[in-house]
Amino acid sequence: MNEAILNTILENTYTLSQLKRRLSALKQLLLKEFFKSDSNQPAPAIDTEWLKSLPSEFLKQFNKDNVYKIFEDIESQIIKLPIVTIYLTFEPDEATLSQIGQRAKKTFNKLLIFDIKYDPRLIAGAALVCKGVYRDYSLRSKIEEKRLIILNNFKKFLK
Amino acid sequence: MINDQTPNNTEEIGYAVETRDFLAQLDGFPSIKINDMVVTDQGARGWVNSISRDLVEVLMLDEAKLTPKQQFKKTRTRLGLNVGNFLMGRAINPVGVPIDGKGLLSKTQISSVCELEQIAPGMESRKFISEQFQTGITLIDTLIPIGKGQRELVLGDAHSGKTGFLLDIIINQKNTGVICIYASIGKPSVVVRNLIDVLKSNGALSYTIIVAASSSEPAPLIFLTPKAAFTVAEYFQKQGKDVLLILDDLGNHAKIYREISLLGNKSPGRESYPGDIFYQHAHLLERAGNFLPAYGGGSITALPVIELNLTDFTTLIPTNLMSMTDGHLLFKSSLRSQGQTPAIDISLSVSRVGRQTQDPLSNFLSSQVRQMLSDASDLETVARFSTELPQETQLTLKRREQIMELLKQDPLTVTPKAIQLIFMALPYTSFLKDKSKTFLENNKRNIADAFMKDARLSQITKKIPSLKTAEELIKLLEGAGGILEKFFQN
Repeated sequence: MNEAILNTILENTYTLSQLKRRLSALKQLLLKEFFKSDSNQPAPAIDTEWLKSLPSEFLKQFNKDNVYKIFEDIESQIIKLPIVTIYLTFEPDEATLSQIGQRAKKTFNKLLIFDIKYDPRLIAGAALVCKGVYRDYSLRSKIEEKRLIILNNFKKFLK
Repeated sequence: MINDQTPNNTEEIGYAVETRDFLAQLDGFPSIKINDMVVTDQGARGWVNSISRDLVEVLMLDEAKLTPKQQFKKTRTRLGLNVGNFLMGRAINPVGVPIDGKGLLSKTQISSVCELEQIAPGMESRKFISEQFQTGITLIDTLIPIGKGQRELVLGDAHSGKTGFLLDIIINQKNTGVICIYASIGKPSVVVRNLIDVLKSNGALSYTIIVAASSSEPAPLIFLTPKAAFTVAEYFQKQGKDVLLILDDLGNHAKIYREISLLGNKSPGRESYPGDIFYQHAHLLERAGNFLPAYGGGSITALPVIELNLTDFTTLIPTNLMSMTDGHLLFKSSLRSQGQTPAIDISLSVSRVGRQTQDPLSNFLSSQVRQMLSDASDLETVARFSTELPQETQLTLKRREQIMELLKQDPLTVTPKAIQLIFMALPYTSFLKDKSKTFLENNKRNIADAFMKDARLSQITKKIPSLKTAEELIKLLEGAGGILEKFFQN
C-alpha cells in the first residue's frame, strides 16, 4: 500500500527538495485532519495547489492508526530511490523542472528523483551525479579539455 | 545519455553522511578500494581506511572543517609516496612533503611512487641472517649482537638514553654504506628539529632519511609514519642496500591507532586497544628482513622503540612487540643514573638472531664473558654475607667490575671491532690483574688509542681477524703485557 502512495506522490514530483516539502505538507494536512493539531506554519501556496490535486481515494488510504507508520515507511523508502544530482549554474523554475522531470521519468525510471545543486563554477551547462559517478557536461570541462588550444589562440594576440 | 562523453569528464564522487573529528563516513564511490585517496573541493585529502556495505570510511590527512553532504572526489593516485635517492639527507612527512625547510624535493632524479601499504614478502624471498650489523657500540656488538635484517626491540623508561643510543648507531654507520631511516612517530616538532641538527653536526645526515609526523599533526598522518618509513626502506633494500630502520616509537603509534579505532566504533579490547593492534604491528615488522638477490638482495634491520611506564614491560603493547621481534634491549634510567651508558640491562636483554652472525672468536669470547657475568651475579649474593672471599671468587668479581667499566661507552663514540674484542679479552690477562676500576675509567680510551696507534700494539690489532679462539687472543695480549705496562708508566 505504501509503495502505491509513494508512486502517486512521485507522479508529478521531480526533485528531492520538492518531495520532502510535499510530504511535510501532506503530513501536516493529515495530522490536522485526524488530531485537530494546530500548525503554525501553513503549507506553501505551491504545495496547497498540489494537495488539492490529490484524488480523494488517495487521502482515504490514511487514518488515525496508520498515518505515522505510513510516513515512517515512506521516509525509509526515499533513501532507496534512484537519485540523480544535477549541478547547474542557475536555479530552475517549477516549469523547467517539471519539463525535465517528465522527460526523465518517461525515458528512464518513473521513480527517478533529481537533487538540484547550484555550482556557478561550471560557467554554463550541467554536471550529473548518478550512483556515485560524476559526469561533467559543463563549459568548464570543455574549456579544461581544450585549454592548450585556447591558450595558444590567445597567445596569437599577444605581441 | 552519458556514453557519448570522454572518460576525462567522469569522476567518482561521494558525499559526507557523518563526520567525527578526522573521520568521515561517505556515501557514493561505486568502485573505490581501501587505500584510495579522496579529496574535498577545498583540497583536503583523505584516505579510505575501510569499506562497509553502504558507506566508505575515510581518514582525513589534512585539517579540514567537514560539512554535511560535503562532496569528495576520488583522486587518480592511491596512498603512496614518491621515493628515490633524492630523499637522502631530507626529512619528509608520511605523504612525502618535505618538512626540513630545504625546499622542494629534487625532481631531476628518477623517482617512483610506491604504495604505503605493502604485504610483507613471503618465506621464499628471505635469506638466512648471517652478517652482523656493526653498531660500533661494544656492549651490543659483543654481548647482544644484531644481525643484518634482524628486528630488535628497544624498550625502556623515559630518560634512559634510548634516543641517544639510536643516534649513536646512526652516526656510527658513516662510510659503511648502510642507509639509515628514522621514523619519528608523534613526537614534538622540536624533537625532530634537534634530531636533524644532531645528525647534521655529526655528518650523518647525508645517508639518513627522516620520516616524521609530529604530535600536533592529524592522527591519521601519524598512523601512516611507520608505513611510509618502511616504504622508503623497501626502495633502498630492493636496490641491494642494507637499511637500518628506527621506529620511534610504536607505543605512540598504538595509542594513535587506538584513537582512530575508538572513533570508528571498533570494539575496544585489552587496555582499550582494538583487537587488530597485534596484526597492525606484526604486519608492519614482517616487512623487515634479509632478502635473496632475486628480491633485491638488501636487508632491512628494524629497531622498533617503545617507552615503558616505570620499567613495566608486562603491558599489552611491549609484550606484543617482544613476541614479534627477534630480541630486545632493555634500557633502565636507574642504570643511566649510575653512570652506565648505554644503560642496557644485560641480563634482561636478548638477541635471538645476532649470535649466529658473529665470527667464532667473537662468539667464544662473548660466551666466556656472559658466563663470567652470570657467575659473578650468583657470587655477589654470597659475597655480601662473608668477609673473606676465596681468591677465585674475588677474581671473578673483579673481572666483572672491569668488564662493566670497559662496556661503558660515551655518547658519540665508536669502538672498532678489534678494540671491542681486546676490551673483552683484557680482563683475562695479567695486565689488568692488579689494576683498579679507576685505572680503567681513566685509561680506557688510552688503551684503545695504544692498540690503534702504537707500532708494536697495532700489530696485535691487525692479527685479530685471523684468530680463531679466545685463548689465542688472550695469549697474544698476555705477551703484550710488558709493552702495555711500559706505555702506561710513561
